[in-house]
Amino acid sequence: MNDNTYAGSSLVTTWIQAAATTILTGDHKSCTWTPDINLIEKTAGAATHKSFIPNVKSGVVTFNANMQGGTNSGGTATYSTISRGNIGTLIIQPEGTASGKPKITIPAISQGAAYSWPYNDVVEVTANFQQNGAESEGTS
Amino acid sequence: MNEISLSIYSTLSAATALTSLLAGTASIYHIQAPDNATLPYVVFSTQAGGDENQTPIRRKNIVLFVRGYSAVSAAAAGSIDAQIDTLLHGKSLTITGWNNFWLAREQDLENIDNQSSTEKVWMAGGLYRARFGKTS
Repeated sequence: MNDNTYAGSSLVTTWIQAAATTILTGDHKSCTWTPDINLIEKTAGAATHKSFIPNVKSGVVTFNANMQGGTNSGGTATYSTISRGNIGTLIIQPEGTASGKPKITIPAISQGAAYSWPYNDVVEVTANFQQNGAESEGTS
Repeated sequence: MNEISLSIYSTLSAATALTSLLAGTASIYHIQAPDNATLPYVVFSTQAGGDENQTPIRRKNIVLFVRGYSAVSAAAAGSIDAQIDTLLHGKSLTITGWNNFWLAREQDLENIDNQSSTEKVWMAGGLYRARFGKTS
């Protein structure tokens, strides 16, 4: 059996909104897309186990990176484009941008960038996005 | 990494408060002092570490062992170590192509070498963690 596993080092994540298109990746440490679905509980009567009706779908994306100093790319130049409430589209390309590679397009609302400034370690930024509509999974 | 070694050497050798305690302004050696080198002197080396491989940007996280040797006393070796500490702890090395964003002393070390001639050589130094990010 062939081993087709791959590492996340090829990931390219792009945030498209009215003011700019920004490639977030460059100094990223992780990017997580967590799909979600509302469930309507229909457990009733003498049921011994819960049961549900699948309802509307959603999801969240969490992007974590090392912060660059100053107004450089990877610094405020990048993260000013994901201020709270910005509406746009996230494109996640896990294996890079080559033709035929997976491409996930997610309409999203930025929930802002959360910063961490530890005394003895690298400054990190975590950006959270709330999915805002149906995603599409295709290829580059 | 040659760039880091060159940077440490130039940082230490440019400090007259340190070199005035040594046998000469060039009494700073990488890995090991030459045979019969005149004491006192400083030796530095990489103790551990390497690439972090956490992000696409290349980063190094290494531990440097920088120490002074004296044939006079432990206190004399300690004075050399104190000057090294002043030059490195919380400071930033200038390295072509790299950004040294963290440099801090983590451990203090001292030792004595008993020479075959019954003379003694005192060592005092420390382990310094250095983290670098590639800039070009």
